[in-house]
Amino acid sequence: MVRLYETNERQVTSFVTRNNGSQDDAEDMLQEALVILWERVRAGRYEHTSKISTFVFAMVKNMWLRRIARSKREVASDMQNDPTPSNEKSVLDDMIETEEAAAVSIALNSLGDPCRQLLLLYYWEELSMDDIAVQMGFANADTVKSKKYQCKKALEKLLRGSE
Amino acid sequence: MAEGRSIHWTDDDELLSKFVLHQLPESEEDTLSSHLITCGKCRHAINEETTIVAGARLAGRAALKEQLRLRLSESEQRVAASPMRKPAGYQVLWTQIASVAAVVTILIAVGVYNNWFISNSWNKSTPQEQVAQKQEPPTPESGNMESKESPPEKLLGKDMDQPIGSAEQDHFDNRRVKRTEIQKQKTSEDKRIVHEKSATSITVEPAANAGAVADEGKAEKELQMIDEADVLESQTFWVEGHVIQDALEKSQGMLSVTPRDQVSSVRKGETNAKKDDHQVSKSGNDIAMPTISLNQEPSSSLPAAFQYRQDRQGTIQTLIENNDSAIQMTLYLDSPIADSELRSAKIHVINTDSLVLNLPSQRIGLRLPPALQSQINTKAKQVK
Repeated sequence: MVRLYETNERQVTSFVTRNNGSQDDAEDMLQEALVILWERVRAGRYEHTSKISTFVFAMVKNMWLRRIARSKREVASDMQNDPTPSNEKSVLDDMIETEEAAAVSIALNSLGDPCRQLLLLYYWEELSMDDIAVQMGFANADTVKSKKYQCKKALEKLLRGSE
Repeated sequence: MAEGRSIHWTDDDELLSKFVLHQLPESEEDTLSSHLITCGKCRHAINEETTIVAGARLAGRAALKEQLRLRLSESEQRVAASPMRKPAGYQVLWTQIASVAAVVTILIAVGVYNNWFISNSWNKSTPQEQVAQKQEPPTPESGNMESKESPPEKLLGKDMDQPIGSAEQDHFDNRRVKRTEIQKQKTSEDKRIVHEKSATSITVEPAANAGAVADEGKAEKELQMIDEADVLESQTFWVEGHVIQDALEKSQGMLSVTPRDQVSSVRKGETNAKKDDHQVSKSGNDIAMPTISLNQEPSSSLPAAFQYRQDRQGTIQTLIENNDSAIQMTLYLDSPIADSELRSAKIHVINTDSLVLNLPSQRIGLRLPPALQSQINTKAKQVK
């Protein structure tokens, strides 16, 4: 991933900075794109139809332009109260979802291992119960199922406690 | 809302997670989704699970980004520590250019070497040979350019696709006559080339000399001997056998097969001692056959070059090997046949360049290449 980053850095930085972005924005976009690529490859959803650098740049471009469009809508809604089209999420919904996800992420990190690792393997890397059992050294898939339920309850308790 | 407990499928933690992660079959997902329209409790459970998934992904991505940043900073520190080191992209570019340049240089060098080598070897041949080579490229019929594994069409000529059977025998004979005429036309030209070559070989390689004497009266015999010597050097032939749909009207000159898949040779005037009482061919040809040994191999073991030929319907690639004691014929079959079938195989010699292999389940026509015909004739003479 480091090599991919270094290979695409110049092109991505050039694009983002030419489109009202900063160096930090460019770095953030590129890292986000590489992470998404990693997720797709891991989940078997990546189809190699073009060069990887082409794919990464296209992803960065889409994400950055969407971010710009969203920020424009935020400004517009602040100023003019334009109604959002019914098929799109409102800016407010987006913000709420983002905040809730961030809260879960913080709670997850504070859970500590093995719950944090188990929930990440299951929900983020989408490994099967059997694979998680092997990776984490559990006896079998049923043990993982039971442990996952307990960890989820602990996470919900943390979230309710923070509300 | 009075709903039974069983329909709140979101109580099943695993099912709930799989639904949110889209790991269920589409039909099942649709069925479960239809319940959500009317059940607020389950919708709430779905929303909570979705938030957990989003939070987990956010945490996972953040962790991965952090790892990436750490590795990037390590990489930058390494670059800073070695000031002469160029950025990775720059290195990659120069490496690519250097490798391309190296490949191009090698190709040019090989081309120059080949060009020089070929031109030098061309200059070494005699002026007469140069003229002969320019005028008439050597053909398989001349027997001079035979190689061990020549493709069948080179050996057999253009009409290999013709099935061999009783209905085709006249057509077959006509072709044979035509080919004989063409061969006669070429023979004079070929003999001149062979004679010139033999003259060269006599002076340069006396060991290869088949006792040739520069005597005009014996020139033809000498050429024939040299032809046979050249032909006998080839030991392996690929022949394309064709499955014959129509049965032969009459079996003539049938040879029986002895145990261990051996085909016994038949000499002129001899009859087979087997029970079936096969008769020698009455075609009027003195066609004598040496011992032929019949084997089978799976078509999957064919060399790649012949695999595609086997795919043509009704063709069976056959390898004919000329050993000291016998001629070995190996059939490459898509499905194996019983050993008893092989043992009971019979060969029907149609004429000097074609034969039919009769198996209980099928008949296979084989067109023998001229070089092999010569070998068979030579062996047959030796057998006599």
